[in-house]
Amino acid sequence: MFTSSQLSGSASHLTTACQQQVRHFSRRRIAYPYYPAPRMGRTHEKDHKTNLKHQMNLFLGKKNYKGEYVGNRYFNAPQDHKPNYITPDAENGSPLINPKTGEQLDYYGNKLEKRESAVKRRNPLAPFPNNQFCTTNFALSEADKEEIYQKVIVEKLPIQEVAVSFGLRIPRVEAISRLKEIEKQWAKGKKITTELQTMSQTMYKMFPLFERPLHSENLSEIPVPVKTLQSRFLTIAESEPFGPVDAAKILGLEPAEQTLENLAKTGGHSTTLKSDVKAKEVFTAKVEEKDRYVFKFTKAKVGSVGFRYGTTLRDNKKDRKFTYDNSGKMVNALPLSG
Amino acid sequence: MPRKAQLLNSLSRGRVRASWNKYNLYNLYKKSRVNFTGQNLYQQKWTAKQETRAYHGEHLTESRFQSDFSSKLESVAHLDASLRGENNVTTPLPLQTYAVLEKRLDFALFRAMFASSIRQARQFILQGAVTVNGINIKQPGFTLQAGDIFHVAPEKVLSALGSAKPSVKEAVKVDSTQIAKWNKFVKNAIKNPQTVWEAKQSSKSGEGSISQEDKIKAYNKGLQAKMLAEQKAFTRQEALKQTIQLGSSVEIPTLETFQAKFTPECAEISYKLFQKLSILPEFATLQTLKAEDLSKVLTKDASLSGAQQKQYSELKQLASSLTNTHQQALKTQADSNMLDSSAKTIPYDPKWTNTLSFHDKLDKAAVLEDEKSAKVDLPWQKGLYGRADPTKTYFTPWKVRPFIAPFAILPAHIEISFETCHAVYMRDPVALPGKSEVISPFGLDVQERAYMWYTRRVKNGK
Repeated sequence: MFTSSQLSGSASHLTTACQQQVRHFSRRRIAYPYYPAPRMGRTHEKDHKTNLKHQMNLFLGKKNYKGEYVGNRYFNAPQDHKPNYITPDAENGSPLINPKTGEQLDYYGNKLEKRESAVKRRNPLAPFPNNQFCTTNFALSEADKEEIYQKVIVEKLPIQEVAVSFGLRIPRVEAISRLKEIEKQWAKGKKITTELQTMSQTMYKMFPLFERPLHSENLSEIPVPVKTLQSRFLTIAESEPFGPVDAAKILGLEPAEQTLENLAKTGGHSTTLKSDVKAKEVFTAKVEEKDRYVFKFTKAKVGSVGFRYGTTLRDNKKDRKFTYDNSGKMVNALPLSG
Repeated sequence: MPRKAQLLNSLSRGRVRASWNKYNLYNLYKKSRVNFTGQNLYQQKWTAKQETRAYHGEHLTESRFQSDFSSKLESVAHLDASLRGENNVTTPLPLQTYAVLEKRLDFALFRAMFASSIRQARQFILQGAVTVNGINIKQPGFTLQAGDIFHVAPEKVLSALGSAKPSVKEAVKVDSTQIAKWNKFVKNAIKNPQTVWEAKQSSKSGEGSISQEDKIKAYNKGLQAKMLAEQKAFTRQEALKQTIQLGSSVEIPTLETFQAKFTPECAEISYKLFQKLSILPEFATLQTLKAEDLSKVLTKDASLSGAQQKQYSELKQLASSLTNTHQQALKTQADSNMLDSSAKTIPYDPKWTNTLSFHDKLDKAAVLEDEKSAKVDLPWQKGLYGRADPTKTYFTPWKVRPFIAPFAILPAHIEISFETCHAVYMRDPVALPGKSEVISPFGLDVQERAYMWYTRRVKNGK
């Protein structure tokens, strides 16, 4: 075996030798922190702690006699509706604080010099430093939820109207009123224990609050049709006018406005869709005196129910289809009639 | 079957998992941006897949995941913005690579913060603690549809979100320290009440300590409670008793004698009352009676003559008016002592140490033998530390688990009610202009390469 330092000669020779070298070489690297973190130094020979464990202990800070890491700024849950997400780049990898004053410290107990550029760059509502597209949602205050409940369930105002006045999407308005209903039922049945109350209050105070005009959701959302994700080419005369409506015609799509209107009607929601399932036509056959059975017939369309003789049940395949019966049991789905 | 849970939170591997474990927090914290420099395309895709799959459905086998994977990415457009011609915000479509997994019940449970990891969510489902639309579902991979409402047994949620219950041994250890600290504090406070009081007032104000506003509130509440108790104790009998006591304390009582205990207004009534009492024939016996026994003065006795009855009814009236006036005076005094919310300091009460008392040491051996024998009664804690109700599986009284803050992300596609442990799955998460509803620690570049990996490999990627 060679090591690269032992090799000499032309560059090309070196490259080939290196490739041979790294053939069975593990590319696995130890995931050390990306910021400079203090290393462990010499310890007693019977101390088998690794550098990473040492650095993690530094990260957590000192435990108090109750086993709490009060010197770590992520230890306590925020209770002021201001999320406390990680900012390793802004604080140079030190999450330590003075628990008495709240002042941020570095690993050596000195006052932390914050990196202003990193602080500015960050969105305080984004929990992950490497994904700025992911942000936390806004929680609705109790008063807002109550108002929605009153309007939707008690006053029976149209959901669309409530959604517009609050700046919330229809499914959210619907969900809030449904959950509020359950909460009222539970409160009536005295099922909400003090522990549940403490828990829900603690959780509620951890999320940013929804403020009405500022955080309104966009109500003109329409799903992007698959057909528009790929390019289509069409030759037209230079003078010919061509706008979005013409494009929709060519792609065989309805105008976006129409889609939006349909969505507002159905709410884009399965609960509203469920209501227009038609009752099935059922009849019982005429029963003769000698008959042992009564036959009941339910009207169905061929192809949508049952399966034809000979179709294979793909229940031994990895991508087998399955559904759930009314009791919640998972069952193999019947094959589509083939 | 899930994959084996091996070295999930290994520090040297440093993978980020869908879990609130503190090791995982450190792994997330120290993680650098995934670096693709010097890698060929295959290596880039491989790395991206490896990193992202460690977070998204780590417990699913590769074949299970691939059979769920869909190469169709869901997104929405904002009609008003596009009509205005503002289409410059990117829609992070590749962040939808793992959107199919978010439909699974175990993922939804974790996203709704009813479980502390996806593996725990899976356990809750298998244990039968989860219902969807009122039906008990035992399949972690159950596919949710828009409008489904799911519920987890509150005890499970409380244990997932709560701090861990300490063992008896740990609790005894903490309580012994707490008691020692408390006794030291009491000793010190009795020795130098003012210094300790001032130190207590100025002690600030880290996280979890009491704010000035709350201190003022507590102070005012204490005043109010004290006032109410005094009002309640000052009955007509008590008024009589105190009047007799005050009057008999000196040889010839004057108005000033009564002002020692009462306001001038009350003193006047009290003085009058004493004068009436002292001319009664049984005054000598009244002096020896207790407050409760004085009630007979206040009750109507039919056997007495008309003049005597009149005398007694006057006494009764005077006693009532003394009671009312004194109670009123107590209230005005308390109100004037109440602190304004803008007050900087709380006035020093020289008697504040009177309520403090030393706590008995815990008998460790006895408590370890029988938990119920522990008698802990500290001002902030009744019962053993974290074991107020030892039948529960979590820290009681309930306290939120440590290091939850970095992971508390409210999802956009699920509406949650923590009070009832219900949540509504509103829709499948989508990509919006400038936002992705799929919660993921990985950026666009990584997810893009992961998508490239799977879209090639999954044959019928739907």
